[in-house]
Amino acid sequence: MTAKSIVLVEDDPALRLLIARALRASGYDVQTACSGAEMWVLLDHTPADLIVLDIMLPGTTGIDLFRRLRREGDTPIIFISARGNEEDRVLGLELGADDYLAKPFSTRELVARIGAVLRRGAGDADKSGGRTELGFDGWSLSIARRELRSPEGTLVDLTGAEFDLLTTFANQPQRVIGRQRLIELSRTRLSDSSDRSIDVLVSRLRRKLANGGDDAPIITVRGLGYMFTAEVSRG
Amino acid sequence: MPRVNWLRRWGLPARVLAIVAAVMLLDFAVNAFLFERASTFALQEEEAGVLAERLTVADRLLNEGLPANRPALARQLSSDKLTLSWSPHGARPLAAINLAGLKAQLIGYEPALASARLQLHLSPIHFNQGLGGTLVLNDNSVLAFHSRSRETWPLTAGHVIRLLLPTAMLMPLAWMAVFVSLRPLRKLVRASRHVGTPHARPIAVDGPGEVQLLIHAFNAMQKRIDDLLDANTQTMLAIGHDMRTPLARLQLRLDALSIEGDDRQALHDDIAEMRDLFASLQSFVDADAPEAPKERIDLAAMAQTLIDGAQDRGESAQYSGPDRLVVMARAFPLRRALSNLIENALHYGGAVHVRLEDGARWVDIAIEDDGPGIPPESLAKVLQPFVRLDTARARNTAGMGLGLAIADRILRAEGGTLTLENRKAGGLRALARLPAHNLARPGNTSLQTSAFREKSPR
Repeated sequence: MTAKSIVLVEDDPALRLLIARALRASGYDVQTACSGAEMWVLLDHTPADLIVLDIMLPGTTGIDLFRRLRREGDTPIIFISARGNEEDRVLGLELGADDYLAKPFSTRELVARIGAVLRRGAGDADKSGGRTELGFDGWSLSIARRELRSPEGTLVDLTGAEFDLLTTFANQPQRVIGRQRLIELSRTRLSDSSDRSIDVLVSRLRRKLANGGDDAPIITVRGLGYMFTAEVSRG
Repeated sequence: MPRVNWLRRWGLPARVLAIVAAVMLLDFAVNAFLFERASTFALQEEEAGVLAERLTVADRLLNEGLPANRPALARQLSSDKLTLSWSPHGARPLAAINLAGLKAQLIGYEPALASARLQLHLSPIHFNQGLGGTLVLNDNSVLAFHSRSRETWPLTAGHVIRLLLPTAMLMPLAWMAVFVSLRPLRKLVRASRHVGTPHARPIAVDGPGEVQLLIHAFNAMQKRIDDLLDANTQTMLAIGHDMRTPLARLQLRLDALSIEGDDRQALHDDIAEMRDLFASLQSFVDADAPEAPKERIDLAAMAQTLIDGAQDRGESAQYSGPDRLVVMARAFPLRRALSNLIENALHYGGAVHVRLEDGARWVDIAIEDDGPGIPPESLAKVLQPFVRLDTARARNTAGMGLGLAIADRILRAEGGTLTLENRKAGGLRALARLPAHNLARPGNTSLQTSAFREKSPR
């Protein structure tokens, strides 16, 4: 298997060198650029498997580069930012970034994220899933922004585990999903992955999805698991 | 509009002078009207005839009588309706109001009265209402009379009004005029309350010259303060993110070094702490300048989610309140503020109880812990940035003493407040208060479908 090629766009020379060195040590083929213009030249010659982009570049801002990259192809992008705020993270993911890293980050963290994005890009059909909007009963679920909105447009917060669970349900409507399957899917999120914690999550979700007199569209199928009963539309 | 510009150039003294002049002019006009009415005033035919006749008789008799007998004679001639008195060199009261019409009427009946130099005046107000007057006898002594005529009361009333009018009517008028003139000044006072906040705006230059100068000076001052705050923000932002690149380099260099064991972990922890400091510094700066528009947020879901998250981490956290409560706010900052308050309670109190209450005007979120609380004298101080109480509240997780200051700034930017108090049962209560959102009331949401409204329980 040939080494995956990564294009690194970073304007700080020392950091560029350090990141490139760390990635090479992890077995990647790394090419570096200090600006957007340089990146385009690089990409013209050799297509990359993944781009690591610093969002605060001089000249064209990272965001503009981003939009152009997304228009011209679907190379996975991880962007790194010197602003560690939540708004930036959401903006990046909404624009279609595959992952987001705030400075400072460790070599291990960076390599792990790159590995995860490359794996996802390799086989998963759900690659564009990061940009989907799901709708049911007037509710809308934005996967990119990790946001749930009620039919009246009210933002309704969910914990990470609740969000993942709802996404799982909404991706498989009108189908019974076993408790065991749900536990496996949410293992990464929950410290205590038991039947009980899934039941707790479901009851929390039901409470948040109950709107006025309407019950949440999640029913319990005795002995089997749960089923999401609402019609789901994709936008 | 040239007319308005011309008016605007008027200074404060000119305006006050103009107001005084206007008041005086009005006073003059009212007086003129009253005098005019008095001069055409006439008694009823019969009453005037009787009065004229009796005055003529009295004039003739007193002229003929000896000066020594005159006071007694005057008393004898007096009746219920007409009082007469004589004095050798009596002073004649000046006629305050020209009763020319009445005088002409009386002389018309008895022309002899003209030669007696008849003079009429209205009785002073505290007397019985009526008409007074004087006649001059041949030897220049004076005969005064007072007639208790019922008909003079409209004149007397007019007299009273004339005396009261300036105070009763013209003073409020003058006050109104001054009030309007000083309106730009009050605008200035209101604006000064917003100096240094994101609501600060330059004031429109308006009003008298002096006030315009003041507004110019004020706007210049406000700009200087804004610039200072801006520089302050830029400095903090620079620290907040420009330092992240060198820190990232440090982290990667450390990763490449072959240091083992505790030293590596300690260095990692140091870098992590610095990262947290920069993050909280940036939150503090961001809190003051919210960019996103406000949107509908389910505050109950937000609070429950934070509490559930804490429970999932194994913390002792409780929520009581409604399942749904909509407010208009910005989600990111508000979540950060609540999260800071909850983490603060967990860190110092070990357990947290969040109570959400909906009111007519305010939504109250009380975040309570069972910790040691805060000494009363420090309650206000801990909302200041970079303040950390070193004894009881040893080391903040955010590390810089910014957690509460960030929450305070965010809530104020959302139109709310944050107050801290020690609970009677022990522990601290942080009360976050947000403006209630009336759209959340049932029936007001135009977005709801009618089917939904029918099913709605309320």
